[in-house]
Amino acid sequence: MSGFGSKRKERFLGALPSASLEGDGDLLTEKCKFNFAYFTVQSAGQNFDDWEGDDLCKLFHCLKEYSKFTLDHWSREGVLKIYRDFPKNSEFTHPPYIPHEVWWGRFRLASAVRLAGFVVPGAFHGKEHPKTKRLFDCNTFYVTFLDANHLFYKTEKK
Amino acid sequence: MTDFCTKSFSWDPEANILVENYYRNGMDSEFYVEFYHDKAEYRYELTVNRTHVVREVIYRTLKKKTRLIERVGNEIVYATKPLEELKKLRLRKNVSIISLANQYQSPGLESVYKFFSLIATNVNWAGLRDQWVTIENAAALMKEQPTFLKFAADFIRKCDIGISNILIHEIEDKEGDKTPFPIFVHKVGGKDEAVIDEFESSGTKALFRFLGIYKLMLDTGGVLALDEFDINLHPHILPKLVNLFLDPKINKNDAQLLFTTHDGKILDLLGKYRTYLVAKEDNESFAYRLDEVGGDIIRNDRPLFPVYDEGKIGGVPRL
Repeated sequence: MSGFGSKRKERFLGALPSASLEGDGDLLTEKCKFNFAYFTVQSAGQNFDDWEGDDLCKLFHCLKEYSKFTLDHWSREGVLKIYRDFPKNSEFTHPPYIPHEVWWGRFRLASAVRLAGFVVPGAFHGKEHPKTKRLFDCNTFYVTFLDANHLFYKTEKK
Repeated sequence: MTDFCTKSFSWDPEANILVENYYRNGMDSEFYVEFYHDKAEYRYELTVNRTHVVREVIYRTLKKKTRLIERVGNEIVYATKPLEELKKLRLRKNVSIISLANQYQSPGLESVYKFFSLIATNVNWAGLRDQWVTIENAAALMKEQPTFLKFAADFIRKCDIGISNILIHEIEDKEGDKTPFPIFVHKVGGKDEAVIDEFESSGTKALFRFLGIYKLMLDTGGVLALDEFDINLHPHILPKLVNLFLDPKINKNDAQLLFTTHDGKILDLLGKYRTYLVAKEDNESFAYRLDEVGGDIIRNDRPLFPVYDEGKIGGVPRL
């Protein structure tokens, strides 16, 4: 058969998308998301401008890696820790515009560097917001603070 | 290729072989055909240019694949015992060994010859033959074969185009030669109205011209290869034509229909294993069967037409 092949055909077929949303070839719905809409800066934390270029690069590499799997996966791996309540012994305070029901937690980036934020509790899974009519998403981590000095949950060992 | 395999022995010894390659680049053209016939699987390979045959090989698979015969230039370099007779014959540079074997009634390649001789097509070496079957040809065939006329009339009646019957009449010229022609009968207000082909719709005429050949192929178990088989036909009629070959009660002799069309909606009747798309890049065309498309962009539980129509699997112009 080799004498009758077509390189152009092979190239063309090789360049076609091979995955689809509902197929087995891609598990898009399993991949967690990071949302920065609730991000804020408090004195214990930092803004993006405060981080060196290298640290920002590392942050994005980590986000890319973490977004490959579910939040549950990273909980099991110990990279994500969900405290549920806002830590009592924290240098940060609960921003008043963040809904009271959320579960607080943090992603570990490097030795003492943390991304602090929250998730929507599992009880909201599949529920529709009464006004927007959109579903709550429990597989998104809402980044609220950059915590380079591990001050969000101070009792945790450094 | 059909003509080459079955009729090339009757060509002038110096005649060109009717093959046009890619912008006449001077290179040889390579073809292969795989087919089942008489309970065996065959593969015929041909390398050829305008002046001569470079190579022909025929394989047959019963339990295992066997090379039956191989010809290089004008020499048979390999032949199984039953085909050794052919070695004694003088090969001509523009004649296929299949046509040669048939001419001398040399045994061993009858099935291969029969397969090629049972191909009917509206394509020749230069492309689509517009007037492959004329109204007059079709009328003559149906005059000769009343069952063909009945087949065509029944089919056309079911297509809801207002025809209640088709009659074949004859017109006689001064020399007494009779030429058959069709009369299309329309039922209008309970009364039969006769319409000759000049005034009949293009779709009805297209069906009339080709249905006799459809019937012939269904009866003989041949291969009907039609380029643009849907010209002048309503898209809803295409599945009815395809179903003539899919319905085992109608297609009792394993006839096959190969066709090209620009009507993508037929994709979902055919499915991915029976559909080739042809794409073109830099003026080079290539074809691929839809089960060659990798990944899960094509799924058995989803219709094919939407992914094709959105251009996701190629075969649509980039407008």
